[in-house]
Formats: sequence, C-alpha cells, structure tokens
Amino acid sequence: MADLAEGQSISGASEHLEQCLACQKELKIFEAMFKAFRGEIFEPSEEALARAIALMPPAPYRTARLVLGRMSPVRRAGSEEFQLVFEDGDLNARLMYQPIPTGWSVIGRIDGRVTSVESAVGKLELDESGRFRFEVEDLQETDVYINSENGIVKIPAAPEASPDGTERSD
Amino acid sequence: MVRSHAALVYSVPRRRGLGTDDSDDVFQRTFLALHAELPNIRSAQAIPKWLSVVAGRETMRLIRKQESRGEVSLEPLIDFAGSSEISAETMGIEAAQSIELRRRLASLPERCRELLSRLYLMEHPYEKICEELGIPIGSIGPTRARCLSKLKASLDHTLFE
Repeated sequence: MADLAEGQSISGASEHLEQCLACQKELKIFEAMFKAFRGEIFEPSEEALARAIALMPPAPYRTARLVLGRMSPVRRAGSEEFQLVFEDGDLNARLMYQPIPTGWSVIGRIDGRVTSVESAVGKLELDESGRFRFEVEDLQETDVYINSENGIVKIPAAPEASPDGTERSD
Repeated sequence: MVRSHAALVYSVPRRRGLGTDDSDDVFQRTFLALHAELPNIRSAQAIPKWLSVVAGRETMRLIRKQESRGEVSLEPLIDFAGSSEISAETMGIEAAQSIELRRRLASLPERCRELLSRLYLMEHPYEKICEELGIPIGSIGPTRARCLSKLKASLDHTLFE
C-alpha cells in the first residue's frame, strides 16, 4: 500500500481498490503520511513564544502522588542521590535525583501515554521508552509537568513531594 | 501548552507563505482564541486539531485582508481554488499531520527512525543510506515497509482519516 501511495503502479491494484473500502482508507492514510513528510515545520521566535505564553492563564493540573521514596534532611542537603516514584491514575513516573557539581541531574522515566513533558529548563525530549534527563541548580526546580491525554499532571519538585498528592510547603 | 503546540500553530501561516511578522500575528491571535475557548475544551486531545483549524482560519483572514488592500498578489492563492473556509481547515490539518508524523517518527525504534528520516526527510538515495546505516540494499525495501507500518499504527488517526 505504501508503494501505491508513493505512485508506483502495481498490476491489479486499482481493480482491487475499487472493491475494498478498507484498502482505500489505508491508501489515503499512506498518501497523507507521505504528504506530511514533505511538509515543512517552522518554529516561532522566543519573543513570539514568550508573548503567547504571557497570554495564557496558568493551566489547571493535578499533582501526582508520591508512592515510593521520601526527602530526608541528608537528601535535602544534596549529599547523596535518591529516587522518587509518583503515580496519577495509569501514569507512573520514576525520577532519580543525582547531585552534580552545578546542582542536580534528574533522570526520569514515564510509563503512560504522554503528549509532552516540560521542566524548569523547557520542553524535555523523551526517548522511545519514555526516558528523559535535565539538570537544574536547585532541587526546588525539579518540578515536571506531564501533558497527558487526561490533562496535565505535575510531578512536584522533590522537596515538595508528598504521598497524598498535595504539595508540602515546609 | 503554548510550547507544546508552538511549531504546529506557527507552521500554518509560514507554510502558506506569510512572513515572520504576519506569522507572529497569526500565532498570537490563535493562542488568544484558545485562551477564550479554554473553558469549553473538554479534552486535551482535541487541542492540536482545534489549534490547527483556528490557525488556518487566522491565516486566511490575514491573507484576505492583505489581498483587499492589494498587498499580496492572487498568485499564491491558486491552489486554494475551493471554499476558503475548507482550505483554511485543510491548511491547518496538514500542518498538524506533519507535526504528528515527526513526533511519532521520533518515538520509533532507532533503526526505523534513521531509515525513514533518511528516506523521506533528507531524501537520501538508497546507496547513501546503505553506506550510512550499514545495511544491504536489498533489505531497505522490506525494512521500510515494516517501519512505515509501525509509524502508521502509532499515528493519531483522527488527524489522518
């Protein structure tokens, strides 16, 4: 079907297509795919982006529950790495916090259907298994926003994580 | 949300040939419209399609305005001979399809991602792809078919049907 969508002629294909609605539908999808490959993508300037962001109210979100791990005073002091696991419905996020000379490195993995993930450093790239990584100066900057099909889920900054999904402010 | 959908919205006027200032205008107006409409949008899944259609309409609105002032020639409008409203929507949906396709391509296994990118985004010839990926020329066709099927299965079909 992909060959047909690319314009190759295949003997008997058009006769078959005339009688096969499912094939016609599949062919249309492949044709749209090849057209989409050719379509150029443009990014706005940072200024245009900032102006549009300023227009929007803060998006409503749910805070994910901490289901494994906790912040101890030692961890807060930044002397050892630690892991926290969060949940919100079917979404599960494991985050590893590692002290580095410039602050903290956060390595995460998200299980669940996710549209995009953002942190204090901007949009994060997820690999095929849902892993991401970013670095911040302070643990307070480790909050992550996950855009999922069921809305926005916030993984709170490590010092604010709590088991009931609210955020600590101590 | 703005960051996530920035390329989608901005690509609509740019692909239609508008310059950066006009495209910035369409970009702002589209998100302004989203801001007003947010309380009525029930599902985050619906937002990309909604944004692409609104960006298409805003683009057409700007083109018509410029056209009425004689600021643009009719020539670029030749491929939009039908109803301008349908054209605006089609324009937006096509940008959304390109974004969705690239997003899903990025999440394919490395071998598929590399092969399809070289074939369809960089448009490299088979010989060069064989060299770059270290695969025999005879395996490109079958691998390409498998990878395209994987890509097709991962797409948001509401955008492609």
